[in-house]
Amino acid sequence: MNSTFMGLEIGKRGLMSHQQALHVTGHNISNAENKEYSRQRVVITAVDPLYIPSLSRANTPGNIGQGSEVSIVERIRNSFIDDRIINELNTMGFWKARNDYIYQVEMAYNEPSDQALRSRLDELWRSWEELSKYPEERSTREVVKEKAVALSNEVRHVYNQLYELRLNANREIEHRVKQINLYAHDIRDLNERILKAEAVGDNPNDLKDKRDALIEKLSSIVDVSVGRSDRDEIIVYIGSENLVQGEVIRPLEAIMDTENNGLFKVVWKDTGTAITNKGGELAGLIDIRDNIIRQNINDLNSFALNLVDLTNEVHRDGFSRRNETNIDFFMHLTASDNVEGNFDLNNDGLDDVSAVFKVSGNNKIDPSAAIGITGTLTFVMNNELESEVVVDYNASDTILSVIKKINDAHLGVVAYINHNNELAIKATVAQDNDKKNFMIRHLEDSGQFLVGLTGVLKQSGRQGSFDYRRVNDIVKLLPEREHITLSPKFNPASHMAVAEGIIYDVDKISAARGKDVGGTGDYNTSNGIGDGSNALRMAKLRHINGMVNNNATFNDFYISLISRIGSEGEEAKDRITNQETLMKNLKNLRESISGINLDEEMANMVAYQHGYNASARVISTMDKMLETIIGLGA
Amino acid sequence: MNILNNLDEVLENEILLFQKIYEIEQEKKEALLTRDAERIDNLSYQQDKYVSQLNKWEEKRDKIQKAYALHNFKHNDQQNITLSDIAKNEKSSTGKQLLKKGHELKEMMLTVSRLQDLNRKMIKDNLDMIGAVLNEIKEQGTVHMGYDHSGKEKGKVSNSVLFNKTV
Repeated sequence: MNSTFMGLEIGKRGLMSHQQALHVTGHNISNAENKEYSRQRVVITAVDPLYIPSLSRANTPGNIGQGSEVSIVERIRNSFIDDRIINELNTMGFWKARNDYIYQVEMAYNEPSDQALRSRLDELWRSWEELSKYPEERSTREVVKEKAVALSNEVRHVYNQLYELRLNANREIEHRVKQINLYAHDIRDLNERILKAEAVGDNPNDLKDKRDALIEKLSSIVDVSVGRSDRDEIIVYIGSENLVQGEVIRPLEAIMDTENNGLFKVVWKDTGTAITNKGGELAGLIDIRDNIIRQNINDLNSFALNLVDLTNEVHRDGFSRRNETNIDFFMHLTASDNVEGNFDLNNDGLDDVSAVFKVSGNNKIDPSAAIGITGTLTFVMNNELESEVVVDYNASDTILSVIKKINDAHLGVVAYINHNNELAIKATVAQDNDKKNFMIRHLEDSGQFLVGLTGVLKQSGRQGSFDYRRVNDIVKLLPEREHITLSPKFNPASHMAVAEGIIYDVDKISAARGKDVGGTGDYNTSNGIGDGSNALRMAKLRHINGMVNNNATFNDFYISLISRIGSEGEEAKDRITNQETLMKNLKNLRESISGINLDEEMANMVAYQHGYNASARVISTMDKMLETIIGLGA
Repeated sequence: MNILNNLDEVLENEILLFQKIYEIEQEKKEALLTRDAERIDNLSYQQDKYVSQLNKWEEKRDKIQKAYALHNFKHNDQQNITLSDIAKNEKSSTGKQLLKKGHELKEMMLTVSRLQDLNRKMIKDNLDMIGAVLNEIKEQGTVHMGYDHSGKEKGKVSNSVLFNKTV
């Protein structure tokens, strides 16, 4: 038999379910402008009807409905769009970090400007030209000195800016790691609260919105993916490893990497292994620090060292106003503190390498004549593997063709014919470790090309080879010490300066070439105060391919450096614009699913309000009926 | 020199065509954001014309480079002569100018490629979304047929989850 008050209960349930629906609608409307909010929808279902089939059921027709209830408050969200957004936010973060720093690198060069490096270089070449016309004048010498000092200052200034930028990027990496750990902790806390709420049958939609918002913030910093296959546990991965799994978190740590000049490396705190991360601001910062800025610093070092070396090479051959010779124009600080070039590379207190930058052969050569000999040159690649590479030569080759073979192989050394028609071999920037920059690794010749023909090595074969891994191996080189340049102290751009002797006495500037007495080809005698031919040779350095490994003049090399950073900057801006469009499209798609449509909510509100009114009417009708029953017999 | 002038002309025209293709891709991007399928269709039709012109200029460039190689690189494999090889061979300012144009063309191509990649992603996202919504309507939503106040047939989606009705 039905209860007397069943109708009241049905009305009451109707009131409550519609009231709850109105609350949810109100919650949607108040969060209309909240970008992190996903619209919620109430599902009103009928309560289980009477009577359940059993032997003890009442003998009345059924089933009789028992009103309505809110079975679930749904959160309308599409995980496909969420995962796409996470992916693209990651890409956006990478390019944003890159763009910010590339812009600052461009600022460091400060091109185009009268104070910038390129203008300083052009002024120096012009000052040498002036000196060649008026070598006896002290004023033209002073100008050369001033222009060289200005150029050196600018090179050091650009280096310092780039170095500071690298340190800034390094500090930001540490900061990002802290941010990642903070977000991971918050996600873990939310996971715990969501799990507790779901355990008692609730749907913690707002907590889930907060968690998704945190994951999105995390995705712009580091390359994350989300595992949603287990309903009870959201897993946030970096690469293939868990950052957060349910209530368990594995934090990251930024530790100093001794293999990378003490700069930060990001590892998992528990295992110490490096994380696998290809996107986000973190990857962008690491790429900027270890590739872009490092490359710019090394290019600047290469530029400074080659300019210093070539200038000194020509200057040493000339004569000063007081007929002095063999004077360096620029300072050349060496890595090694001894004349043998021995150096302690691994900082264990013992010398372990022979650090030689350049060697010029003893013999004058005809570059285009056939060499008439056969053999094999052996070098060692300037990368981590340090594998041996051979370059063959045969009788019909010329010196120039052998030089081309060496330079085209990109072994870490370059060869060229110097101003005295001698073969010179010099080292380039290392691919593996900046500490090994500008160090010749290995020179070996099975024949006579480097030995008898050009006068670089004393002996052929393995026993006559020069290898940097052996101390005192400078003895294997044939030329005198003045024709061997030791490897510079680290980062030559940071200490580029005019030699002190020149600073204090401009008469030491060797503007004169001298004369070749006896027709031996050796200009070893002074030619008087009016001789400016060495200054002219200096000015002509502008037009030769002084940056041998790039086959470019100093000016062209510097221009290519600037235009490369310019292109990289343009690419980064382009990518960011494209990513912003992509994000806009994805967010529009998400809004079309999860966004609040006020018209729809208003329509729902009217519907629920009518439902509420109707339920109230049911209650008042049942109330009148009950009054009649109660009044019976009164 | 005639060969080099022809090569210069080809590069110039290719750069102009790529610029036009880039402008069309920019308009396509806007059309994708507003989901204007008809406009995308018209733009693609215009773009086809430029692409076929580009193909013709590329064929001409290939012929010119092979002709140059025949005259100047007698000992090398003439199939592999690039613009950089020609520029290195020409020590005059013409070589530098050709190289500069080559770099400009390459930059233009990379920019167009990036924009095309973006448009491709947006098209895929929209198509995937449409697929998801249609599936959702099929599984959960229904369409109630009825009539509006003027007596015309009008359908209404009901009970859908993803399809935000008045959007």
